[in-house]
Amino acid sequence: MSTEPLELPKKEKWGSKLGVVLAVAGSAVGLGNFLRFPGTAVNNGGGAFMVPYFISFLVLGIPIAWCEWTIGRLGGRYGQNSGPGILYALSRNMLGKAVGALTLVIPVAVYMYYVTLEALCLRYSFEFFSGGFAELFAQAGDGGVTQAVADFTMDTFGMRANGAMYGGAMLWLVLGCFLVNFFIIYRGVTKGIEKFCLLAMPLLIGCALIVLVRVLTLTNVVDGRTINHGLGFMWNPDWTVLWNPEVWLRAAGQIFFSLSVGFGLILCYSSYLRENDDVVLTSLSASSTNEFCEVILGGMIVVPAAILFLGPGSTPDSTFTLGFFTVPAIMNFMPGGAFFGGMWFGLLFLAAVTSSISMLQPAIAFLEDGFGLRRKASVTVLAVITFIGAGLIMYFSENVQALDFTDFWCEFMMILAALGQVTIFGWVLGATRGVEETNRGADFKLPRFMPYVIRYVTPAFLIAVLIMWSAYNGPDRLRGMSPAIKGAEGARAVYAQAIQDQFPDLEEEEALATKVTELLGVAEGMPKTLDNLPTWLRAVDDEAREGRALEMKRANVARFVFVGVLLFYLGVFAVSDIACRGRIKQMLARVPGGDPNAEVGR
Amino acid sequence: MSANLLLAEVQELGTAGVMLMTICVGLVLFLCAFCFWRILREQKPSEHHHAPLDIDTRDADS
Repeated sequence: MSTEPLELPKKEKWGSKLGVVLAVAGSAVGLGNFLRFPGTAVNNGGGAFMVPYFISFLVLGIPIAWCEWTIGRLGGRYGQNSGPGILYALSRNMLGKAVGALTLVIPVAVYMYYVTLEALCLRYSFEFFSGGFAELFAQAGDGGVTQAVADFTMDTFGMRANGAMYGGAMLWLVLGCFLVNFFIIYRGVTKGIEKFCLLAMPLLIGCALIVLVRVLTLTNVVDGRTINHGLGFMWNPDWTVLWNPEVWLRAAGQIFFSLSVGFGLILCYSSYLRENDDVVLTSLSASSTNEFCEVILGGMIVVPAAILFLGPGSTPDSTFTLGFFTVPAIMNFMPGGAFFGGMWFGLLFLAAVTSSISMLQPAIAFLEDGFGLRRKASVTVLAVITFIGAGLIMYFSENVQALDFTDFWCEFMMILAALGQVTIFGWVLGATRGVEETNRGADFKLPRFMPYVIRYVTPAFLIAVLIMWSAYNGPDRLRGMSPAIKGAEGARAVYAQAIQDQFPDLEEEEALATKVTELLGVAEGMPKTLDNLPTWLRAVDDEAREGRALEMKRANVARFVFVGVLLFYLGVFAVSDIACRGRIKQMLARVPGGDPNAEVGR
Repeated sequence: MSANLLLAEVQELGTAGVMLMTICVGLVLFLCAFCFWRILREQKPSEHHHAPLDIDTRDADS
């Protein structure tokens, strides 16, 4: 170990309480609030969804946020601003290092695809304001608007073929977003992030309020539907869903991903607090701002307008489809749609930037703390890494597959990271000591039962979420990574289409599936020989081979993403281990109470 | 479930919907108002306590 004196970077602090609240709220408020929430809520019981949603908010969201804020502020007292440093300082064990690496990998990996969505929002805002969409819609006519938007999105986002995004303006827009994000980050926490969020958050909330007023005052009547029908579709409860565990899982997931807990962002941001800065109120304020954007703004704009103008069936569960296929079509029918559409996507762009910069800061802090890099060097290193990652995700753009799979693995890691942080807070640091630490400088104290909630209830809830989430999503995703299974499915789909063409009466999915199994002679996958197939079915053999090859290629992309994320994690873990054993350990040795060999917790 | 919901007849906002919407919006607005009122109200400057973990970063030396 080097014995040379350490040159520690100057530690920044937040300039104001409002600044840190808006910065953390900005990191949480993003596309998920305005697009994912309404899509999830409306497809899971409407108003009834709010019951499991608010219970998850109380039991899962708020306690984990308080844990992260406390851990982060405590880590800041040890001179650490990055997940690996903070969690190593508090746990001094392998769990801390493993979870610390997760809190670096998740935001950086999410940034790699999030920046492309940020660029897409910017593009749409520009298209609305410049009249590009108006021209497109005029050419398409009222009946062809939905298809025209779908075609535009698929072309712009390169969804038809891998590498297609490289040919268009998206590449330059992504580059522009990189420049904006890294410029803000380069300016630092106070002059960059805080200053930007103090401007951007009120601006985006103001824009959203204007769009909200526009939607709620719509007087259009479309096929007998008014905006009141749209609100009814969104908020009328279907109480039967409360018995469905999947709805509870989705509510918990929505809260979890929306508040950005487990990400490592709160950990990083709160480490720039002062020792006696209030984390209870600050955390609650950031969470409530997020809820304002989600429940009030997100819950009353997109779905009511979609139901009014496009009718039922226009509110898919998919965030991407709802946001980039449905919303532009809605805006076409809305009076003043060009202006409000431009404003809507402009506010989504701002929301995306405030989130993006929060995803970069943990890695910047790690490079500075762990390796003593200056701001310029750390920004350059991170820009290169994220640009390579974003470039790969942009290249594998067919069906947004790379983005989708990266998002899936990041969600999985987020649950693990949150579980790790709650475990460190409740069991390593000690829930009672942890809550005492949370209460330090607090405007109001946490209730006495909170240590029990954090020690038992929240981890149990998280474990349940992890198990259910894996059970619901895992099998499909694992199948999606198997070229053999996906290839067989691809070929089978071609045969199924041919069989349906031959037997048009088979409208029911089940009846068609039975017929396919009967003709192909196997319950799943493909027959080993084509000899027993009817001649008309053998005629589509070449097409089936193409379908098989296409699906196998997609499965290989899914594998590539999995291996990439895994290697990225292992690499970050190795690098953070080196940093923890080296510079971070030396830093801790110089902090009173930070002796790396001392026992921690109780 | 999703398919059933999507095919369901679109109804106007009913009493239960209005109540749920009002409660949810009210709860969130109350929480926001409470938090921001506490944050934005004039705070007394806190006394400076010398923290046991004050870090000497030696930045002042350079």
